[in-house]
Amino acid sequence: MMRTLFFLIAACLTNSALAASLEPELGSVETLEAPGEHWFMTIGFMGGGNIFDADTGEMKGRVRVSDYTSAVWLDRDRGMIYVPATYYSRGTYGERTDLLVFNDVETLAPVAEVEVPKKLAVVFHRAVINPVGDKFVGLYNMTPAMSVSIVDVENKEFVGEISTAGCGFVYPLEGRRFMQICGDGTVQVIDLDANGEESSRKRSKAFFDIDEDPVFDLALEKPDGWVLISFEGKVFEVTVDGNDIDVSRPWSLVTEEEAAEGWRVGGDQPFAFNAETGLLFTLMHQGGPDTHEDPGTEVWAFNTSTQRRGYRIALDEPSGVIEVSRDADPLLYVSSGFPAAVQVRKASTGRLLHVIPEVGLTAGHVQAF
Amino acid sequence: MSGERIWCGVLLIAAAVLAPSAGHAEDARTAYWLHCAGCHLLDGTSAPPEVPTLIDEPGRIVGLPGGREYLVRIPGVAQAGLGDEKLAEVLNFILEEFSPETTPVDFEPFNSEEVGRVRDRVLIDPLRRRAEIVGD
Amino acid sequence: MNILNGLNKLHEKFWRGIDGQITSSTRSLAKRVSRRGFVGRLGTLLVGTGALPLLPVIRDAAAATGIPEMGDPQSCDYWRYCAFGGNLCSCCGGTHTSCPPGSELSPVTWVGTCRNPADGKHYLISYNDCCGKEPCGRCYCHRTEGDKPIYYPSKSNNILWCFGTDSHAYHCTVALVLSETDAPG
Repeated sequence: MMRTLFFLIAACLTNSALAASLEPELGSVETLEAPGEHWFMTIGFMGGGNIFDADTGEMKGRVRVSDYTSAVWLDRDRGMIYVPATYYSRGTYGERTDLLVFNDVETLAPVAEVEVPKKLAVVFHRAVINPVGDKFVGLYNMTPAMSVSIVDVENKEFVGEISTAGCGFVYPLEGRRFMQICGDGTVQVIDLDANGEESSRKRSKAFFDIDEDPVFDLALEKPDGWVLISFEGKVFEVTVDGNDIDVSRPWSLVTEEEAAEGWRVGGDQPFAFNAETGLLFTLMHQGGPDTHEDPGTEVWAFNTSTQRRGYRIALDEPSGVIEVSRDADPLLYVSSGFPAAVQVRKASTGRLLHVIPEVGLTAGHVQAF
Repeated sequence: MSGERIWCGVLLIAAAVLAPSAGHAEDARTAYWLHCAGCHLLDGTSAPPEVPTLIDEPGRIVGLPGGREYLVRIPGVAQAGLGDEKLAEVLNFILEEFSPETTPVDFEPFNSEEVGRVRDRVLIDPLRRRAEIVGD
Repeated sequence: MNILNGLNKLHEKFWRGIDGQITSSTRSLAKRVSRRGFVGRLGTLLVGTGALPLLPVIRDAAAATGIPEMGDPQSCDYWRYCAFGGNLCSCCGGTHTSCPPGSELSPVTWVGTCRNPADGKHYLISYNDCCGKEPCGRCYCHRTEGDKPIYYPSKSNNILWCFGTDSHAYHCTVALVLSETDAPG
């Protein structure tokens, strides 16, 4: 009886103690782990940069971008995401400021800014920002005259602007140099010295005709150069070695029969390439000339060493945006719909693994990290 | 000043609309509007320093050593979607229209042969070449 | 213009049934009669009190140019739009020749050569952007005939062409008649 009483009293006291000791939860803020090789970012219309882990399908966070930002650069070594940004003091009007914003990857928060000339190209394209060497970043400008602003990201300062009349974009090459595509049918290579200033520039021979069959703006990275694809589906491999710029004879994405059936490559981000495996993926539709922006109804996958198509997949919904991860066991990202969703597929077979919904109001761009 | 400009403009438009489409002068102007005036503007004032002005400048350059060649090799000129003959006409139009006072009196007009020969020689660093010729 | 892609897709879905078809028939018409070009500021024209020394704002196109007209400027099929890319200012508080209130008329434009069905003649059409406000988002009209990549800017419509304005925020696009011209060769 005393024992029972004792327990009852103890229970009563304990319950009161418990009731007294329930504390409200405190919220917290996540930090980000180092981005994996299957992470990607989407940039949509007037939307921020949503970052996803393609393996889990989870959104990992958002990096702030401006309304005029088309692409960012993830510097894994420095743990930074660089965002080229244009802001007006009143949103769409007022005083203009162009910046390179340094975002810390762990906190996805801005930690520094470098002001750059108010010339950042407002073109929705991947190669408006890229590293050049290990401590510089190149930013593509249009006024509409074309130039490149160089920022030293180690010392966080603007170095200078390089006039590149007739040529556009920043496609990095090994060393401290970058390639551009030129309107006269050539590519151009510009070298920087240790201070980030131009030391030399050189052009290839002309290999395409701007009127007959221009190459798309988008180049695809390979170990010693870049892959360029023309509106008619010709694939050129540009290899840069020292002072030599070699452009391969092109091979065609389509057979004569397929061309006769009207199969063409097209989209906003119409193709992607994984250098580790040599696999090339293209969005294909049937249409006439000048349909190079039409979304694809199929994905075609090619082995670039054999220049043969491996598989083709019919899409349920047309897609204008395709991207692939950079690693040796790559994932393919196909974006479509409104709001946009990304299909995650095993790149080597095309098999659908899962769909990530709502990647951004419109995933106008998918950038593999 | 503004009143004058209104009348100049009206006359310009009227002339363009009402004049029968005749010969070479009209074609060169139209070609200039289509291929050049985007950056250099209808009156040639352009948007310096990024886009060099056509007022007086080309006339100064064409008389300097290397100047003729330079004008043909500038990317905006060399890459223009115009055949050699029409491009020569447009260059001559630009000099006459925007740079009449600085163009040397003994200036020999461009022709299709010269333009065709020179425009394929790629000018890799236009701004640097301009500085060399002009002596900046 | 790709930066508007998402909103444009949305509006394409909404407005497709309303403002007419963006069809292959209009595309093939565009192919036959239009030619890409690139024209800049009509610096010699002023309008009104001269606050904008940049471009003509012609309130009544027919009266200003004296050309006969037909068709609906709020429809993508309107003859002047043969090389059009963007939102029609005529659906946004402006007209096909004037910007909506408070937006800036850009000096730098696209020019096409369109055939006027009312008289069978060809005219240079200047597609100036109106800038400084968020995209209007109505009456999206897009024809990519002759479109080239960005590295050949004079024939690329994937660039926001609000150059020479205080703000390069794209709002909508007009279509000004510049002059009569020969049929494209």
